[in-house]
Amino acid sequence: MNELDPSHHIFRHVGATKMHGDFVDPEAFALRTDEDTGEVIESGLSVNWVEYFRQSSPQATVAPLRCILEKKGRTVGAKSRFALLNVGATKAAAAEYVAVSIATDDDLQDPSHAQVKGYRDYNVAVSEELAKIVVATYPAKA
Amino acid sequence: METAITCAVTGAPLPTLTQAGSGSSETNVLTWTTPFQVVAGARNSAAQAPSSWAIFRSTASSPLREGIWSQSRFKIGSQHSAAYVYALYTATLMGANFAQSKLASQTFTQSKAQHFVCKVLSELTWNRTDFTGTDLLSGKLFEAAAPAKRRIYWAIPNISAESATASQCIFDAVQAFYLSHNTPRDQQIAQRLTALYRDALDEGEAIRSASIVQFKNFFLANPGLGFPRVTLSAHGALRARWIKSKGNFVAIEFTGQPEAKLIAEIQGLEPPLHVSSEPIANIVEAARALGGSFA
Repeated sequence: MNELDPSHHIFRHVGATKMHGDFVDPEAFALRTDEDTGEVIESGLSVNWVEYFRQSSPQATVAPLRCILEKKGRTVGAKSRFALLNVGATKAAAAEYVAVSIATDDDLQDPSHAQVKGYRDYNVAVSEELAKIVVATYPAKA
Repeated sequence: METAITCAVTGAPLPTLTQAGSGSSETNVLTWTTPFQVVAGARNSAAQAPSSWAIFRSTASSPLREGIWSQSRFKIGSQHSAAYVYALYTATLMGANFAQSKLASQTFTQSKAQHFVCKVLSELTWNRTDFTGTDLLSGKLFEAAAPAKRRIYWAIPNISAESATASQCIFDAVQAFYLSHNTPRDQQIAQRLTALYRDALDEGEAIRSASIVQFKNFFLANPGLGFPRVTLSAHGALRARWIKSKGNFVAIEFTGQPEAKLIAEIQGLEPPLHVSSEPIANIVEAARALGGSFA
């Protein structure tokens, strides 16, 4: 678990139902909750470390990342997208409510996997802040 | 004895019913005795509850009605196969879907399916005494087939009812928005709902029926609100967001419960972000009291 460099970037996969035009619903950055109790049941937000892929641009990272997610069994819908966030900006945005960590959480199937942790108690507020600092979104299936 | 029935909506012949008097028949060895009758009700009947669908009644006599179903009025005697009852039930549902527009707007609710399962299928307790045939082999086959058939009957209606309810709610909502007098905004909402529903299907997500109904009623009751961004929550609830500027918005999550979730960020509030649950009837006033805008 290594903290990512603030100058680096992360991708968050966002399903088509969480977007309307260029608007990304902040719930795409919220930790999953129990439907009945509303209690947060996820320890961290799953993201992917963009610089791991050593590609020339974030756009070039999309194809290999999509392959990884599909191999893991994730549904990558035709209209879903990857939202690009800067690590430093993400920490600064969340810091309005709480300090978060953004660290690698790699596994054999997904060596670029990382997690944003530390905002279980500020789930809605931090997810709203993260939605504001999305740099760009890229189609998951070009 | 054969009873020819055609569907009034599609004009297609429904499967014929042949009642076997003995087990020697090739196709109707398995017969089943039921106290129920199948009646196709007229949609516009004022005498009974909504009846776009075949209704299974336990009464001996049921009034047949005039209207769109008049050509398909049928009344079946007390002896018919369970498979036929279910085929008829399914065919009638399909007919209602084909009719679309006004006819299809009569929602086939899950309760109808539950009624079918609980009241009709619970009667499917076959045993040796129900067998009306005469040869021993047919009788044994009857006994062997009965449990398997019961399992099938209990599984199929539940699946159909779930999808029919969700899709029917979307259909009703889209239709209501297209037919509303608030044409430009409501047409946009109808188009957005349709797109969102397709996206949800593509991604294996579901939209809660109760949320759709609440969403539809809310917008029809509030024609003065602007066209929002509409998305779907992780738990299948529709969300609408009116964005005035960055960091200045009002959002409602249509939970399908009496209280909806209100999220608003308004500059000047302390703290700027407000999250609460509000009765859906008062939620617009509550947001406006905070300084929120629905433009």
